[in-house]
Parts: sequence; C-alpha cells; structure tokens
Amino acid sequence: MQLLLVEDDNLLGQGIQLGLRDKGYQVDWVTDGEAALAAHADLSPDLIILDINLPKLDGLSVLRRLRQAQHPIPVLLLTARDSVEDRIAGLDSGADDYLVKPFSLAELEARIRALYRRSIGRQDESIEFRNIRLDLRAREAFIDQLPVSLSKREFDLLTLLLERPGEVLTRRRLEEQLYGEDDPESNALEVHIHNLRKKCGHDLIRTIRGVGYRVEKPA
Amino acid sequence: MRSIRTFLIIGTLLMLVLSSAISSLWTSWHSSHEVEELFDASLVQSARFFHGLVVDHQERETIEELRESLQQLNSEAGHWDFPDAAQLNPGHPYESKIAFEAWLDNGTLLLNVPEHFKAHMPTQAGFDLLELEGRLWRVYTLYDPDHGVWIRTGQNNVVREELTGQITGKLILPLLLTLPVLVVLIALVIQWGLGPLRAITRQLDSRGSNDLEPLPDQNLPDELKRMVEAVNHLFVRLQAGLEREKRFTDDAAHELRTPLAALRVHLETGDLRPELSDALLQAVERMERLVTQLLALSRLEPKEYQLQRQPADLHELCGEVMADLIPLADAAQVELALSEQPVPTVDIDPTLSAMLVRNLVENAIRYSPAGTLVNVSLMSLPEAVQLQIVDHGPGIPATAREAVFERFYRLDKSDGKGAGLGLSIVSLVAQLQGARLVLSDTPGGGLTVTVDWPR
Repeated sequence: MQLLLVEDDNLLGQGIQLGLRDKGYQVDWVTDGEAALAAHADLSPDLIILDINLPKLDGLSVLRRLRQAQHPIPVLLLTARDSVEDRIAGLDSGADDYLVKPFSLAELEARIRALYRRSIGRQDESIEFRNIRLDLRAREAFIDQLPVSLSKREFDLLTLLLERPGEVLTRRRLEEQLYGEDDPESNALEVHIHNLRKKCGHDLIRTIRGVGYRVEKPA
Repeated sequence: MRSIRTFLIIGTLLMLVLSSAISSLWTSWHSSHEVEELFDASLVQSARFFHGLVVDHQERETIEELRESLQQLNSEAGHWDFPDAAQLNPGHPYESKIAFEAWLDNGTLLLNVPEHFKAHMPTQAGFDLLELEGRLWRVYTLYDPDHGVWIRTGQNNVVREELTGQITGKLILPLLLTLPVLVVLIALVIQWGLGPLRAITRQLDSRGSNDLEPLPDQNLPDELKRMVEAVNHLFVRLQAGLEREKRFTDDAAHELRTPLAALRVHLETGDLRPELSDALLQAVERMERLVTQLLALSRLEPKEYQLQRQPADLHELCGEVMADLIPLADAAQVELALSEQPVPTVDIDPTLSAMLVRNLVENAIRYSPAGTLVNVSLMSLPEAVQLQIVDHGPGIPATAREAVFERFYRLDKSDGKGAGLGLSIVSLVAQLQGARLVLSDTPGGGLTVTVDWPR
C-alpha cells in the first residue's frame, strides 16, 4: 500500500515513516501543504496521513482542495487539537478519520487499515483468532478446523468480540449491535455468552463485571 | 474608623444632642425670662388696679368693706400657693395668687390681704425680693404721692419659679421627645444610604472564585460608581492575565504533543532493550497524561466552560469509561468491577462527567496493588445518584484530603505515578456540575471516593 505522509515535524515524520516502513508500507513523506498537493498529483497514493498545522498551506486547506477536485482518496488527519470543535472542523473538511497526537504506531496502523478497507469497499472474509476461524461470508465457525454450530445471534456476537480482541465491549454496545432498536430480554446477552463459552471454551470470553465482555488478546 | 455606618450614626447623634442641648438651654433661659416679665407685668397691673380700689374706698371710708370682700375672695381660693382645679370658679393653672398691702405715708398699714402678707413700710417704688416668714416674695411697690399711699403687690417666688419652670419645661419637652425619634430616623436613613454598598458586597460575596464579570455600574451613587469602575477595571486586567495564562497552558500543551508523538513512535520502532523501551514508554505515557490533564484544566476554567447538560445514564457512562481503562487495569493486574443495578438518569455534562470518572478510576488503578479489586458502584439515593469508587491502595490520610485537590500536589513525590492534577480536575468538574465529592477510608485500607450527583 502506498501512503503519503504530510508532517512538518521532522522527528515525528521520520518516526512515522520508519515505523510504517517496518510494517511493510511504502511511505512518501513531505513537509508542507503545497508539496503535499504536488506529491498527491505525482504519486497518486492510496491514502494520505495529513497533519493540520503545516507551513505554506495548512492541512484543512489541502483537504478542501482535494475534495473540491473530487478526489475520493481516504485522508487521515493528525492533530494536536482534540476539542470537539476541532474534530468537527476536521471531519467537515472531508477527513475520513481523525487521530489526536500522541498516538501509538499500532493505533495509526489500525486506522490506516480500516480506512483503506473501507475505501476499497471490501470486508475481511474471515477472522482467525487462536484456534477459532469465522467465515464471514458463509457464516460458519470452526474450532481446530472442526465446524461448530452457532445461532445467528451467537455468530454475530462472536464476530463482534473477535474483531476487536483485547477491547472491552460494553453490554449496551453489544446489545445495540445485536438487537438494534429492539429491547432484548434482560439476560439474553448473558445466555448467548454462556452458550458461546460452552461451545468455544470457557476461557475465551472474559466478563468485566458490570461493564461488559472481551476476548483476551493473544500474548 | 471601623465602620462607616457606626461612624456616621455616632457622629450625627453627637451633633444632634449638642445642638438640641444648646437650643434647649437657649429656649429655657429665654422663655423663663419672658415668663418672668409677664408675671412682673401682671404684678404691676394688679398694683395699679388695687391702688384704684384703695384710693376709691379710702375716699368713701369703706376700707373695711374692701378688706372683707378681698378676704372673702381670698378664702374662696382653696390653697393659697397653688390653684385648685376643683374650686367653684376654676382659675387657670398659671394663675398665681397676688397678695396686697397698702400703707400710708405716716407708716400705718391700711390694709393687707392675706394676713400673713405683712412686710415693713415700703420706702421705694419698684421691684424687689422680700423674705416674709421664711418665704420669698417677688414684690412690686407703687407710690401715690397725691394720696400719700404706698401699694405693694407680691407673689410667692417659689410658686412663680415653679410655674416658670412648668411653662419652659413644656416648651423644651417636644425638643426632648423628638430626639429618640430622630435617632431612629437617622439610623434608618444611614442604613438606607449605605444600601448600595451592601448590595455590592453581597454581589462580590456570592461570586465564584473565578468570576471576573464586571459589576453593574448603572444606578449607582457617584462615590460608589467611581469605586465600582476602579474594581471593574481591575477585573478586566485580571481577566486578561488569566486568559494569557490559560492560552499559554493550552499552547504549551499542544506544542508538547507533537514531540511526544515523535518520541513514542521512535520508541515503538527502535531496537531498544525491552526493559529500556518499557521504561521510556512509561515516561512518555506519563507525559502524555500530564499534557491531557493540563489541557483539561485549562479548558475547565469555570467562567469559560459552557456546561452541556443532558439527561444521561451514569451506569452506561461508567461502563464505557471503564471499558477504555481495562488495558491499564490489565497492565497493573488490577480487577475492575461495576455494580449491576441500573440507576435513574441525571442531568449532567457527559464529557465532563466521563473526565471525572476516568480520572478517579485511573487513580484507583494506579494506586492499587496488583491482585486487588477496584469496585465502582452506583446507587440511587432519594436526592442524588451516588457514585462510589473503592480501592485498596494506600489511601489518603485525613490530613491531606483537602490538599490533594490542589494542582500539582502529590502525597508521595517519588511514586512516579502522576503529576497531581487528576484530583484537581475531578474537584473542578464536580464543582462545575454541583456534584458533592467526599474522600474517605475504605474499611481495611484504601481510598473510597464518593460523588453525589444531584437528581
């Protein structure tokens, strides 16, 4: 994947370039707004990582020019400002996502991947986690390559959890995703979790009492 | 001068008493003098009248008749000295009995009424003061050389003075009676006059510590107007100073973010020994947290902050915040738990409240020994929803429970855990939303933070 990085801080620009190259991305790096527009025209990258505070032409102006020219390229904004107003201004100018400094490389990479996936309109076809594999197309689950029968809700729930290993999903969020506007029976979620544990192993899903559930990230 | 009010009241009263005293003295002296004059005049008048009677009766040789009728008249009066209102022909309180004497040139006493009014043969006309049988008399003597008759009229001086006293007393009385009324009125007027000053004091008193809004200077008396203008001017300068400080904090924090990001990215990429990179990452995280907290504090200036209140479910809010903090809890090997039962929604600013819960839970995690539980519970009370965060860390001694809310205050400066801003943020947020914040001991050791959100 070819990325264009626009960051005027040498130390940070260099760090991001190095870090992303390590992970196998091709990264071109420029340090001001005008150079960014020129590089975009020359290189036609897959995604732009754009700082807001830039010399010559600031990031939001670069973004507006791109959008005025009808470029659908995904843009991830980097900024030191994190107030709600700043976020809104960024997203209004046509940014696809917004990352506040400082951030970890892992987070940056996750955002890049998600943006890229969204831009080419494709979802992962399967999720693999430890000994579990979910085929999202066929909606089939396998443990140690053996098929496991899951109900629709159980499959959706497991997908939600395995998509974000290590992250706690609050009960409210899971219920919203699973049931939409419908009010679930009060303990429906617990029942599904219970069934999933029975079918996929008791140590797969951890309960954070009162908060929600998660699967542990593989160490 | 301790109090303008007391000063004005006492000063005015002193002057009032002084001027009353002077005018009373003047009135009393002057009026008693005039009354004396009037009494004297009546003495003269009576003498002339008596003289007419005596001469007339002497010519007709009926002096005895005159004596009898005069004595008759005299006996009708109850008491010689003071008139009696119950008598047949009521007189006047200021009427004073007049005694008479008539002498002939040859030294014969022709007539005297009453009988105890009997002085020596007069030798000189005019006013005099005589002592008869232990009593003082004011007398007037008239001499008629044509008939060789001396006429003397007299008034008991004590009675006269008593009457004079009564009359002047009645003149001064209103002056003395109005004095207390005036005192009350003056005190009221001064109290009323100082009203605007009290109003300004009240306004300043009721302000939050960061409220530098100018005082209203309309409809103020001139003296206060100038003072209020000066105070407002000071407020403007103070406000500008505070804004400069706030802008500086804001700018500094933002400027720190880019190098911090660079530091982190390089650390994550570089080939450092794991324990070194872990230590450096920890330092970076601390700095990141400090920057975030500094920004939060600079935004929380109570005057500036626009509360965005809306009904919110604290249970959901706590759940989300805690879900975010699970990685931190995992790293510290601390378990997090949230009570299960739902609570009614409360009107809060969700962003601010999340900041409060995050800071409290983060603190609890940071100070909890590995293997312990941080328990967050929500409870519905009649007038509040109560949030309790219970940890089993070192706790905060009762003596430090006020100081911990001050910026950059740290109980243990070497613990390497924070900058001492978290609780400042928490107390500011609580204060902004009218929530009550209490620190206490967890039974068995640790800190319990209780926040009551009014319903």
